[in-house]
Amino acid sequence: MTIRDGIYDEVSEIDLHAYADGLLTLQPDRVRRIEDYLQQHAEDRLKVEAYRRQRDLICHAYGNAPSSEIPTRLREAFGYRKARRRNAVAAWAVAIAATALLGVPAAMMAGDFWNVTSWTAYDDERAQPATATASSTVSMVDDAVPVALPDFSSAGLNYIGHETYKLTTKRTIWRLRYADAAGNEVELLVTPRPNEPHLVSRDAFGQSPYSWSRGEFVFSMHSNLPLESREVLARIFEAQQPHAVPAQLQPPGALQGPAINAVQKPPETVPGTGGDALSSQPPHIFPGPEGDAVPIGGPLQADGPLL
Amino acid sequence: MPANALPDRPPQEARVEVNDMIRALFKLPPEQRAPIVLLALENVSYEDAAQMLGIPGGTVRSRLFRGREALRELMEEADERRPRLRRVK
Repeated sequence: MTIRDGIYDEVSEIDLHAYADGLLTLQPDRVRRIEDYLQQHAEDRLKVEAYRRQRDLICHAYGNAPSSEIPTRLREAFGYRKARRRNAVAAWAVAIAATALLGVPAAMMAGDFWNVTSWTAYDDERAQPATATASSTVSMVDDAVPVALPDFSSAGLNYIGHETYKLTTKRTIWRLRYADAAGNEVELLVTPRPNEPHLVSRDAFGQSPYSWSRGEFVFSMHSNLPLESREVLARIFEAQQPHAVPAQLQPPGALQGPAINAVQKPPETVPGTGGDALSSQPPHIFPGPEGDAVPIGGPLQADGPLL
Repeated sequence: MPANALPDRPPQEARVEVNDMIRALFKLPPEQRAPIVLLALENVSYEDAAQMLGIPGGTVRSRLFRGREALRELMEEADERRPRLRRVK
């Protein structure tokens, strides 16, 4: 608490942060009291300015930075291809126009989602290929989303980084990227608040995404891998969630929003395990693409990478 | 001033500052980083942030306050190391 003297004894650390965060707009008397206090206490005034500066910088870093500010090597690491970049300006203009008319979902439906240039790469370290293990502390909660970073290393896929894309001030899509030594790529989009249309009908891989929802999140997996492989990865993902509730894997068509090509055979519900390392869990049995039982971590793992 | 430029700084310096902020953020413990980023990007109340993170409101506030102070110190250190850009006319 920042109790400096009797006059301002109500001004606390909470007040200063709430003032810096602009959360007191409905309390003008409190704002006035804090401002009076700050005029008398330069040290705390500097603190508040620093907190506001932090917010501005974070917003700029994660939400508003144009792609030109992302170093080339980061763009390459996150898969920005020259072919896409050539169309970036036009695509962005189309996306803005579509957003203005129909909202972001329309732009995404039009395929511009994959050309949007405002994806924000996170930090230098993430540009390097890294293997994240399910038992590590790496989690998307780092980025304010309580979704554990999935470990697909059992399928030969290594985590290579992630990006965010702000749909609105309150809605951000996370894009987790994985790749294996054979050049296969997987992108998992994590979108909070599934009560709005948000998904793409096609992607950079020319396939319909494999999509499902859980809690307040919708997940959409894009890859050049076949549908059944993405289904396996989806189950690995759900099994690794620390607060896993039984995963309600749904055919994409069951989700609200734009129609998405339906999965031929919707997978059955897999009970969440809440476990950590996949290798320490008994393999889950679920129907394969032809209805056969396929254990995760069984034959697929024994045969090497998931292909 | 370009739309994306931060106020009070030349664009190049602002860019360096943004990079410093990203580095500083990733030096924080994840539990402190989460509410800071959430508050900054989502502009939610502390109570909403607590709900989204699944932790009590008091915990959000204490992590936020500690994290911001740590960030402030990290940014001050970075600022001292940062070369000053001089405007040449």
